[in-house]
Amino acid sequence: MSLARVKSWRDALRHADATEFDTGLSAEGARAAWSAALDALGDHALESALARRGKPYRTAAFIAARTVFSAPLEWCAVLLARGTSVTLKLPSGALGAGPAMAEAARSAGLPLTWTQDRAVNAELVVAMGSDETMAHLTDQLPASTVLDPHGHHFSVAWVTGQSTVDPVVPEGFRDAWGAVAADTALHDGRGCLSPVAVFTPLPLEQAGPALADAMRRAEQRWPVGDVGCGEWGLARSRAALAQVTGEVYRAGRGSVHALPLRFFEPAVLPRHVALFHAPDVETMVATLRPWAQWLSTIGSDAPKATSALLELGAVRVCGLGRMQRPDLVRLHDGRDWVATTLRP
Amino acid sequence: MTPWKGPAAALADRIAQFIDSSLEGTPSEDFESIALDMHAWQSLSDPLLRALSPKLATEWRAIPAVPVALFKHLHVGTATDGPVFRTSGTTGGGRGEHHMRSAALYNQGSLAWASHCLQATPADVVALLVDPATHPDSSLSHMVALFSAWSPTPSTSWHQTPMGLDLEGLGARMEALAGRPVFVGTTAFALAEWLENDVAPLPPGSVLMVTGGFKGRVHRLEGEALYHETLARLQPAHLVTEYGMTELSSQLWGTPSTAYRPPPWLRAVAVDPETGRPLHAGERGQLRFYDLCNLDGSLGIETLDEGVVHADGTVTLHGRLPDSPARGCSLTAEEAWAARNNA
Repeated sequence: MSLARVKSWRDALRHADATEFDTGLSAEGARAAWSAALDALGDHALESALARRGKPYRTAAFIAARTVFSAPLEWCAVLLARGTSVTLKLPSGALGAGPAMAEAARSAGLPLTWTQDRAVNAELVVAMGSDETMAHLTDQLPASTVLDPHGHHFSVAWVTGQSTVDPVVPEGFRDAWGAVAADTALHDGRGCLSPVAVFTPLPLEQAGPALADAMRRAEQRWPVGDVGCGEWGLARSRAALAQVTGEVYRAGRGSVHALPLRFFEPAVLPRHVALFHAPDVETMVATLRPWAQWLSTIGSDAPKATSALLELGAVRVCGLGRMQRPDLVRLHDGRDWVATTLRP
Repeated sequence: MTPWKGPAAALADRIAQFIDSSLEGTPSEDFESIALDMHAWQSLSDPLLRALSPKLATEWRAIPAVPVALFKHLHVGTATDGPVFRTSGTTGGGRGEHHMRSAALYNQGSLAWASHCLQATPADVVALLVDPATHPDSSLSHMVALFSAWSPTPSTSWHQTPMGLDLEGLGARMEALAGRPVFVGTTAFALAEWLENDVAPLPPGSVLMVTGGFKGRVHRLEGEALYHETLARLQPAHLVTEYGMTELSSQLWGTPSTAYRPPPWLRAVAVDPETGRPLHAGERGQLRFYDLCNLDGSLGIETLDEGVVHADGTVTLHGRLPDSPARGCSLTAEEAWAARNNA
């Protein structure tokens, strides 16, 4: 019964105008991000998620971060389909799709509400945000509440130049650089599934212009949204580092910063990508190893590299262009998130 | 003996003359002529600066400014021996380093401008800062130590330790003043920590200097509330504010109710954070500074602070550039480094 309502809710949300959501993205960017999130909620995917049986929670709260406005969608879908009442806790100034999701749920007869109150009262609390937020919640929540925290993570891409035929990747972006540029553009490159850096065995003189050209194409299709002054400042700062130690390739309002490997750090700069030459995947793995515990997804066009990337600790290795389009049933931050929607 | 040679020595002499003469109201030459010559020499001498500016600027505002983050990654400037000031490293990614052949220009300019800006220069100095004898790389402590020059019989004490404020020593020192006016130099956080305790009013004629922010730490006393409580409880005759950075050699002074005043050898520009283009006076933007005393480093420094540069050159600081409206599960560099360092 609930599953049918969730499908009806999802279908209603397909008609929602994502440009009216409070996302900070451009109109085209908001539509693309919303569409990608809804695409993950196919009938088969929902049924697969619900195939896992167990005792559902009566109530759950989802504490949303500011980064990816569509992140609550999949959690709400599965929890609501299990009959759990869900409260969305939305950050101030970044309501995202929350109000629209709640309104559509009300019409579909699903128990989804939203609030900006700080107080949390639910049997299950799923939280996304900073480590400070997680620590605060751990202190504040009663022992009877189950907390599923999702703190900081980052993603990178490994690009050897192989095109993809993956129909999920938007047309016009199925060349390797186009696919990674599409990953970078979705949600303006924010969020833990966005590639903060691209590693390539190709010469940077070849890779840099190719990636910059693809990012320009991506910007034409999905213009950049709001970018904070601090983000611009940091982007120009890293561009200066690249100007001195490597190369800067302009890409519309964004840029590609070709840098020596020693300057890798997992910093998100919307529409600005760090590019590193690694002669082989082992070199990339060695560079990332100190940061491995925060590694989420590695997008790759080289299937042979997959085992090394998984061994490094990547939670997910996927094709380029799919980094921000994960399957519904998957490991989330290394945990079987679908299982966490049921009582232990 | 000057540590500089050739064109650098000539520049150092010109800068030293400019410091003295400009404070006397008869500058030996104009700021821009020194700035452009210094820019040319720095670009010629330092490949890093040359890479940032392959073509020489013809106007001081067009001289490239080195972002402060680069000081964490690269050696900026041409000095390999001599004093080194280091950033605290609280923002992650290592400590930025400011190398100098000599602190002579730093000392001359800092002391001259502080003395010029302050209405009183007490002989007793109490610093809620680390002792420069044990922390010679603290530029703030170095600057406050210069203030011993205000008296032939100076008395300076240091009361910040790695564990926090040395409250016992601080209390004893304040009692020993026996009513003599004192200069108190403190960071905002140390002051807030001090005010958590019982404090007596400072002796009449005292000056209290507050500098810096909280570097990510949280305290109930911040900004106006901190100033209000300071005035109410410590009752300094003069409450002054100071803005400086490890990467600069000169400082700006103000009060809680007035903008920061730069010395004649330091100029500020607010730029558009996206493009780096200078903004008009009165527009809010990302702050850059051009400091003639940065002979061995970089004349231009780009901060991550936001502020307004007024038509008279004074600066209203608005704190760190506001971050993205959208932050959450993704890492910022600062958070990532902090997490890695704590792991």
